[in-house]
Amino acid sequence: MDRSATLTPTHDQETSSLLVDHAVFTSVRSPMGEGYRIIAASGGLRPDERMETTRRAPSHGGLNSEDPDALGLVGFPLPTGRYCVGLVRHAGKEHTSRGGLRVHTHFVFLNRAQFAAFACDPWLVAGAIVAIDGDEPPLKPETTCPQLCLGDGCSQPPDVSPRMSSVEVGWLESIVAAALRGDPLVANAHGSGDGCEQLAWRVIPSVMREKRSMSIGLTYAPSRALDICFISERIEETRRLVMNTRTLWIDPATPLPGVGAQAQGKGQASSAPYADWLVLTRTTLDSGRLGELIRLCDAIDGDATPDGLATTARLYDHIDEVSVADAADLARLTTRYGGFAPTCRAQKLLVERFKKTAAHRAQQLSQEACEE
Amino acid sequence: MNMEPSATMRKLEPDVCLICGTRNPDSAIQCGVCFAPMAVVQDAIAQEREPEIVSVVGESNVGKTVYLGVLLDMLAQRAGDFKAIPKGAYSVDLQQTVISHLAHRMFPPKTPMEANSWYWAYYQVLHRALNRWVDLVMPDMAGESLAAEVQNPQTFRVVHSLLNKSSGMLLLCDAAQAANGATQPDFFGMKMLSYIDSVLGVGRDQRINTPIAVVLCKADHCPECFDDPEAFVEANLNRVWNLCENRFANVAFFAASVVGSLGYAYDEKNQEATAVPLHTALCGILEPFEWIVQQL
Repeated sequence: MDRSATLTPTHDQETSSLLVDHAVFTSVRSPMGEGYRIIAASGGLRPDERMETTRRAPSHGGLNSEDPDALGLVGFPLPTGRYCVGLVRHAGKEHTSRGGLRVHTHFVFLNRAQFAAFACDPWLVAGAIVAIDGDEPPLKPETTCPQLCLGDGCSQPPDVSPRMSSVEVGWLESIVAAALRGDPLVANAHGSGDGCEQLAWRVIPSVMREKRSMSIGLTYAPSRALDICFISERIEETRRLVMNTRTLWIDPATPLPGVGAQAQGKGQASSAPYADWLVLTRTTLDSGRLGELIRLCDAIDGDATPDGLATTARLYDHIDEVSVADAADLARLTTRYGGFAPTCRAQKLLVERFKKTAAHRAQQLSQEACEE
Repeated sequence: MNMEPSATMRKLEPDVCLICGTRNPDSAIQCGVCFAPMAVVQDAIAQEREPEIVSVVGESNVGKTVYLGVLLDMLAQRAGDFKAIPKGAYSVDLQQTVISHLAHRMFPPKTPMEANSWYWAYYQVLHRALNRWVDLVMPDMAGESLAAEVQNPQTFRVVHSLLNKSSGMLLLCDAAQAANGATQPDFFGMKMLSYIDSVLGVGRDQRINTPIAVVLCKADHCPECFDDPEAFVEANLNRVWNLCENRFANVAFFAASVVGSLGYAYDEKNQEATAVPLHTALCGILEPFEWIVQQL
């Protein structure tokens, strides 16, 4: 059963104007000095945001590829509550005759509503930055520049095939499992299809995405302290760096221990935190209902505790169950959700859908009884 | 020859970072907080002597990497009164990078801001004239990280930890820029010294005793600074000179140069000029280090 219609994203009213603060971090020579630093920023950037941005921004050699057209992305929550997304690329030669290419990062700073307008997806935010900057990243030092208008937002899902191999599903589920627990991870995306990293991000509940930092296309640097790093080059070098640290290494060939096992049978209860949610993730991916899972994750804007996600997963299953329930089960399930208080938008939408499905089923059962 | 274990050595533990004191997992290669190699503390335990940290500070592109790389190479080649033994292959990486790049008429790559990518050198150095061994740890910090930390303290805590633990410092200033009337080297030097002043935190009536060698880099551009580095600093980096006089009791001034002659390769397509170090002519590299070692 497709519950897509119940999970269409709705934007918050606060996002009507996507005017955001922004900053450029790169290496240029100016009267104030040279080397990597914030060379231009809009007036709303706060000192602690500057510090955090400087700490996490990629510098010389920060992009994983030496291709002049290489792209990277970095995203992280800030202590002020905003989320920072940086589009990283090369911008010509390093100006100090030291070899290599200049790394340029255009950062934007979004409040919660603004980030939600992009489905909490840094890839979509980066798309908006590219649309503004074009092929010429800004290199002019400016003490204060105006805010940037990022357009109307976008919640488009990644363009990937909904049919995935069990290896891909295991890789995605491992990432979701680690992200839910808050374990830092490096995911080897070498050989994976286009858009698989964005997909992995989008199947993490939205409220968790707001709290997790990420990068793609950047050289892995533990000092940047990012939660989720996707890499597709320098695999062995990175794996050695990750070894013997608390950062998890997630490889398509070796999913995290326990991942996949939970999906063996829906009836099998697991005491592991998030087990119910991971079962839902796996079964939805296995059955090719990718769009539906993404919309569900996008709508989880509140309670993402193990209990909260278990409730959402059960509710999701009960919609299927109630559509074919007999009178006794229908009564049991209807009673269960009679006074249900949703803790996130996904639950609210699902419970509305549940009630409609239950009403429809009751009507069907009543008709069947009359016909008999 | 004094090679006995230091009587004053504090108890070092193999899993506790020498720089920031963080306890790390046994198997950690780098400290999880400041990213110093854990091999430093393990080597220190093996030596039964706590090493002295000597920090090389200065703004981006002043020449910290080149200076440190060339200095280590000179020590390894028994220049002057020194004999030096690297502790671990990681200690050789910096000098190898610098020397091989200069040999190919290139400057070494920029040091990334990410602390986990910095080079660290741990050398056992014998000053033959003093007949004294000193164990030295010298990290090659990125100028941008130093600048960010100086501007907003706590941005890169490793810088604070390192300077706080340093027994001596080399402050590199761009003599070529200063001689051309640029104020940037003076302001950066002043900021750096002011930061060191606050990190070492002595009372307002006292002056800091930690030895600081102010090194005028790229002195080949203004050879006059070799004649009297102190007078050059007083004239061209006057803010730095005044601050040194006011707050630091143990400062000396030096001039240094690595590159003998510089060519410029011009890329017509991109209209970019690239500086090419045609040959090296080392001058004044050992002296500041020798002075620091004498002060330890």
